[in-house]
Amino acid sequence: MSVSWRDIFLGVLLVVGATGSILLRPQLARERAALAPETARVSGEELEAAGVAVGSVLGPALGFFRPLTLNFLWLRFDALQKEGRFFEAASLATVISGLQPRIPEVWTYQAWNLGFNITRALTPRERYQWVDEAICLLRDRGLDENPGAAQLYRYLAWFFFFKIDGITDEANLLYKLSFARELDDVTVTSDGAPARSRQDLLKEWRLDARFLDHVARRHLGSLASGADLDLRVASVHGLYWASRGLHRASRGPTHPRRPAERWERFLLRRYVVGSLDQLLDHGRVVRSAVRDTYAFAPDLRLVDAVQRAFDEDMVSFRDDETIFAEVQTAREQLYQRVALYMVLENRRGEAREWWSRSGSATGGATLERFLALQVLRLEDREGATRELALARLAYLARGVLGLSLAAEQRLAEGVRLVAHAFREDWNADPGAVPLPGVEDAIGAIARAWALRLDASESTRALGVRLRGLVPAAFGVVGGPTAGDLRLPAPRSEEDARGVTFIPGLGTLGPESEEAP
Amino acid sequence: MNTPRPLAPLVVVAANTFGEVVRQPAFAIVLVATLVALALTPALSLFSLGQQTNVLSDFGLSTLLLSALILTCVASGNVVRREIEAGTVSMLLVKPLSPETFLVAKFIGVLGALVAAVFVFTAALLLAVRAGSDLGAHRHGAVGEQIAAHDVPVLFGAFGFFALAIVLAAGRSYRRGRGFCGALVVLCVPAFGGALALAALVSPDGHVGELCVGLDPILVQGGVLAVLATAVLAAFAVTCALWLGRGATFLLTALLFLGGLWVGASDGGPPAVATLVPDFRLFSVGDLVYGPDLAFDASYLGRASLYAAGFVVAFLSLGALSVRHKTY
Repeated sequence: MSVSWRDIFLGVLLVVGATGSILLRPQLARERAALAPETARVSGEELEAAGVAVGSVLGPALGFFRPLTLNFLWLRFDALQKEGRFFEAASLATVISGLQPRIPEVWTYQAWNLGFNITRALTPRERYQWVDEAICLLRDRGLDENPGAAQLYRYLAWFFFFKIDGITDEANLLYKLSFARELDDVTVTSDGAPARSRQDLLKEWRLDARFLDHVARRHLGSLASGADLDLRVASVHGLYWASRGLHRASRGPTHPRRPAERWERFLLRRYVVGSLDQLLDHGRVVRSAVRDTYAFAPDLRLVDAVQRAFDEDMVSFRDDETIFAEVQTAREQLYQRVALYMVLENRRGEAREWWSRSGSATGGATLERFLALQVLRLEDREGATRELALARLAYLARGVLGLSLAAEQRLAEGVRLVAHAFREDWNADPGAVPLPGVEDAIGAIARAWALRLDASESTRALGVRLRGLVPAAFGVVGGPTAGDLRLPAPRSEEDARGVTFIPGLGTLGPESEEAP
Repeated sequence: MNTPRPLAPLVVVAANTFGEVVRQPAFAIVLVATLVALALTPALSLFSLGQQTNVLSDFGLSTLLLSALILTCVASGNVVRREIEAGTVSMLLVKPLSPETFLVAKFIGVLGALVAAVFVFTAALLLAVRAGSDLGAHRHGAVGEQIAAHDVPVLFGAFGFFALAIVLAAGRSYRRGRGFCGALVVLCVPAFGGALALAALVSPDGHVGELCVGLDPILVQGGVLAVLATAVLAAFAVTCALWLGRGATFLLTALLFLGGLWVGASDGGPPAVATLVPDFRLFSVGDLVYGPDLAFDASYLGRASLYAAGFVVAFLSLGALSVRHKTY
């Protein structure tokens, strides 16, 4: 076969054409991403998720059959939901989100299904992994496809600060504990260093260190850094994602393609305040000295931030009577709550000061009665039975011991104060059967714990410490037992339902006489 | 004495190819089916979750791209294979055509027909999105009712002009006894051009003077990019058809399209494959319409044209090289 000049010319054309295109591709791909930066992917790594990858190819290739396919899938999804077949619906939703990855509502709908519908059909102990799944879906896939979608940030924040860190789900205590365990650096390497560094955690949970610093400085003061925010508390993540969404949504003017952005900004702002409020309430994590569990105590560093947020809201909503009244009420309640938190921190003087600022004092209400009602979690004493009061007393006694063992002496003393105030308020009622003494209750529970701690080699040292904490309880003549005092032990299902979680007092309950 | 015109054979073969392509019943059927699909899209987009305009644009652009692919396969495979199977290619290649000119002329003819079809699709898509968009939904309530009830300029323009094109094509076919499909395809171009012009001049509320209300320029960009994609596919299909049958050409072209989408979506893949396969996601903006910042970008179109031109030149050169050494 002879090769002519024309063949050579065609060969050169072939090479030049192909090479030119090949060289042009990377730049063109970047320009395509720049055409719509708010929808362009952050990175390609998450495309391993089959749904998205298949959708990216099938989306344009299905053409007219795409709306038909999607209609069928959505109708089927709806039918499965109605039949209560949530797991099948979740599988189908993966395909749907793969075919409509650029619609944020598809991701929020699916996440809601995982986090709220499916969990409702499960026992409390089975739920956390589905909530976690919903969070991963929104954060790792939804946001990857729609990095500019404010509502995805909002839903993400909602899952953290409301679903996990709120108290509406009966499994909320389990969520809190599971979440804290997942983020705790308890696993250490052979040389004693944490198996996961903070950088690893930030990467794993997709938190930007610089933005976390920014969030911390904004709410904790100019000297704070991201390290001051405890990642084991879900509301820290809620605060981060709501702030991040607000930051993204505030970048430019509301676009006609997204008329709801103004509303999104409003909600994100509410979620920032909500997360701060939750952190003030129980943002301080105390790790149990006995076992893999935690107590969540108030974080008083956030008092100023929450107060400032309410003050800003009162200015923002001065023209809206309804919201203004709500914010005003919330601010008054904040003073009451801070008074309680101050007692818990054993800062009695400041507690009185906050109580007097709340306006409740002028109405004749006392801080002691308020503390008692907070412990009972009741509006008034009418509905309180002695069994409930005994359970609460046992809860507080366990709190004192657990916090003492965890070297949180100040907090332990605060809880002891609350316990005394609660008992005195109860016993002051002439019609009520008196409660046993607080120290008797603490002693009874300490003796029960000591028996269990002594039984194991690994916890024997803790048993010795416990004796040192309450020496009177281990005298020659033993005091009354928990049974004598009729102090109920917490049941595991009660833990799961979160009944031992008292807002403002945190989850003090995991330490029980059964626990060790 | 007439001066010899070197491009005359190329123009003649290209024009004949264009006519041959648009006369194919399959071409007209795909064209009409796509128009029906685009008209139905607003009513079928049931689960747009508050993003009606974006969903319509996305669905419409993917419909447009898929139809362009099918038309490319139908057109390219048929016009080249027919010449080869009938043996006319050997006569054409003796004089006055060189093999390269033959190939380029075939490509231009096919591309011309595809450009006409994509123009019609883009115009129809612009009209469909305007009629079924959020704009209409906000004005009139339930989606699906607006098309029939309210956007008179679109209704009159699209259906009126299309009906006129059918009548004219039928009349021509009645007089000559043939040529309905070709005439319909050709007449659709001015018909949808006219409908688009009417919609551009008259707003959905019937106000004259408010220009281009509800006509999204992004869809024009999508249409131009679809033309570029079809150019690459047509060059590939024409080259394939020199050697392979219709079925194999169709299959390979479809695989190239899917492979190109995959390469674009996977953001890499094996390096050789990623670079040698044209990235068809660069010609698709359907997934980007959900972004609030997407804007018409002429420089992107310019560079995308260069990218497509590179592959067209490469595929046609490959075809020309192969056809020069092939005996028919």
